[in-house]
Amino acid sequence: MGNYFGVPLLILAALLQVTVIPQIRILGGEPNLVMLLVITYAVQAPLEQGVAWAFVGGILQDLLTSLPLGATTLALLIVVFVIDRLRGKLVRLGFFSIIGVTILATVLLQVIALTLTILAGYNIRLFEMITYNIVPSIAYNLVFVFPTYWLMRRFCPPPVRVE
Amino acid sequence: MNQTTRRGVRANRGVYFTVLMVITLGLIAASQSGLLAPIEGLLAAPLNAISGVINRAAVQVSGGVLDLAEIQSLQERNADLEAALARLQAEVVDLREVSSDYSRLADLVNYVSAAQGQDFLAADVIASEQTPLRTITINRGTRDGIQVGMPVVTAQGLVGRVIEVQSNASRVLLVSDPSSAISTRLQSTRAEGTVTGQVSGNLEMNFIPLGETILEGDLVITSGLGGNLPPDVVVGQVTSSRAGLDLYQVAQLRSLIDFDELEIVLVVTNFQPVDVSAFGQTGQ
Repeated sequence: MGNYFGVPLLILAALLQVTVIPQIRILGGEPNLVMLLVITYAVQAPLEQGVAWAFVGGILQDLLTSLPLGATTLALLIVVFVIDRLRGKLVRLGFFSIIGVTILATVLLQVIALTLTILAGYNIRLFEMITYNIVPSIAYNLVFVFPTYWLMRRFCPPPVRVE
Repeated sequence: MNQTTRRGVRANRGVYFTVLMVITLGLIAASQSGLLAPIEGLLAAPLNAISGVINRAAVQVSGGVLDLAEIQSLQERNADLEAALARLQAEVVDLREVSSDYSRLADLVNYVSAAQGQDFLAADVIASEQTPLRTITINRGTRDGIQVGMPVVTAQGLVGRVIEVQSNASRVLLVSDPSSAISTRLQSTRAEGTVTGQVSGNLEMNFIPLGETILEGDLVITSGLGGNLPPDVVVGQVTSSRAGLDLYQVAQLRSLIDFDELEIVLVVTNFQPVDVSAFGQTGQ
């Protein structure tokens, strides 16, 4: 089912990210819907499917924000490969593994976004960005990741592989 | 993907990862240099159109949720009037929206009439972004004659400057973004300074000479120095001031605009930013 609903779901998430999510923002932090979908899908899916979701989701998100095309994709691809690398451990760690992956993905995404913004010539105040944007975003993503994980398992599981 | 390919992927994760990273970094480089701008514009056009519709609905629902809370408190106080109040409140919400739209449009019309010599193009805000840059997206692009550098205003003052243009949408860097720096002056004393955004969303006016008097409540307007913005556009109002580092004073400002509630803005279409970089090179 994940293959059929993947693209529409990611399009919807990218659209909601720039329209609805700003309405529920606390300080500068907000949940990243595309990232949450990719993480929670990649945790249950084979590597190649996680990569596809990361690629499509990242491109869609970058089209609707000021980031250059590929910036979000880069962060999501790294996270998907980390998830794949830790796959056996993730199952054993369970609850904590989802928390760890969510924090990693949020930080990685922000670091790449900030780096590219600095390279583009914009002035960034790092300490304030961490306290005002990154920390609240991590908290928000941690709140949203478990319902998203449950919904993805329930309604959008990866296709069963026939060996 | 067939089984052979899958086995190949699993066996060569390192190569697979490297290839994907190279492709992605290539995409970023091409996008940063502007090579992909036509393709990005083409792909983003339908998404921007849909996001405009969703954003309008989201803003209305957000306002509706607040009004719903008011209705609930009335229900607790007077159960008999519950149904009637709910009906009336729904009508009030609609009327408030109409009245609010009318008020905003009337303000904009008054502003446009008052601003002589400037051409404006009204635009709807269709999306907003908080990080890494504080921006809004408007539903006007190259098709409407929008160009990078054009100032964006409302009747309350300066909103920001266009930094990216697609066929049917443009991205505006808000004055409240920390990377935004605007040459300004205090309206009453004419003292000059630079207004920068803060991460918290507030504004700060720096480099005000020590001898200048800073009055609380004084308006801060653009000076036009640097050639990036027209002069005399309101940027904010002084709330407090203090002595800064070095030989300057710093004033805290509040913008008269609520950037989270922006729905309609005006783009100044006949303003041509002046490129002063050539003078800098000559001087060096």
